Amino acid sequence: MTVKTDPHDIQEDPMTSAFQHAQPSQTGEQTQGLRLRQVAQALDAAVLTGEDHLDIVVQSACCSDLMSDVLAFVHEKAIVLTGLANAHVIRTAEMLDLKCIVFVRGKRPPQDVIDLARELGVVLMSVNKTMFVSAGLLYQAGLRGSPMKWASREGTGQAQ
Amino acid sequence: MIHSVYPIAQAGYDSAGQASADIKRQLKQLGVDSKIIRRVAVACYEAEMNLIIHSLGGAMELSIEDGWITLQIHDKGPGIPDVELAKKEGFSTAGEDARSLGFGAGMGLPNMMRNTDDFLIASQVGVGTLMIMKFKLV
Repeated sequence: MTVKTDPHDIQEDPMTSAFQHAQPSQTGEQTQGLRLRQVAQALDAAVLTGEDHLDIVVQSACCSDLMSDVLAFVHEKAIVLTGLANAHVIRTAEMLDLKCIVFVRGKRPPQDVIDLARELGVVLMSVNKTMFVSAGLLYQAGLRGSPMKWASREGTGQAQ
Repeated sequence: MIHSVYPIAQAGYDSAGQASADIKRQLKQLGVDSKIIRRVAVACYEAEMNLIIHSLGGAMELSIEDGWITLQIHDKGPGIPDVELAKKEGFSTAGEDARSLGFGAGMGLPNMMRNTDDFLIASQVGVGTLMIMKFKLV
C-alpha cells in the first residue's frame, strides 16, 4: 500500500489545506477556524462583495432560512448559510457583527442588497450547491457548528 | 442622558432594520460593552420587525440613564389578544409576506425576553401594545 506523502500534492488541494488549517488544537476541541478565502475555496463560491476581507477567520457556521433562529443561536465569528436573499439577512448580520453570508442553491441577492453589504463590510458569497452539501463541505474543511445554546447569555437559558 | 425616538411604519419592509442599526451605532459610539450591544441589537431588531409585521405603526424610544439602557416600544394597535400565547416559542400569526422574508417563526418575543434584564409587555386589543425592555449597563 502506498500513501501519498508529498506535502506539495496535499497543499494543492484546497479542501485538504483548509482541513489542515483547521485541525483541532491539542488543548481543546475548538478549531482554529477557517479564513473566508478557504471557505470560498472549499465551496467553489463566487464572492459577490468583500474581496478585501477574505483573510478574516471564522470559527463556526450556521444554516438557516429563519432570521429569528439566526438571531437566537448564532455566535460571533460565525458564517451563515442561507437560501434567503434579501436585505434582512444583511441587517441580521449587522446586528450580530457577522462577517460573511453564503447564499446557497445558486441564490444571488439584488444589487441594492449587495451594495448594503459592501457598505457594512459584510462578505457575500454565492454557491451553486444545496445547503446540505455546502454545510458538509465546510464541516469536512474543519468548521463546526455553534454550541446548541442560546447566544443571548453565557451559560444560561439552555435551549430545550 | 440620551433619548431618541424612531417612528416605525406599518409594513415598512424597505427600511426595516434602519432604526435598530442606528441604535446599535449610538451604543457603539458611547463605548458600551460589545456583549450588551449585541443583546440590545437582537432584541431591538426583533421588536422593530414586530412593529413592521404586526402593528398599525408605532415607535421605538431609546433612553440611557442611571446605568440602564431602556427601549420603549409602543404601537397604535391592533393589540395582542393573548399575550401569554404570543410569548410561546413557535407561536406566530405572521402572514406569508413576513415569512417569505425570513420572519414569522414564532421566535420574536422569546428572543426579546431572553436578551433583556427586565421585560414588560402590556397589550389591549383595539388600543395597542407597549413593551419596555431594559438592559443593565454594568
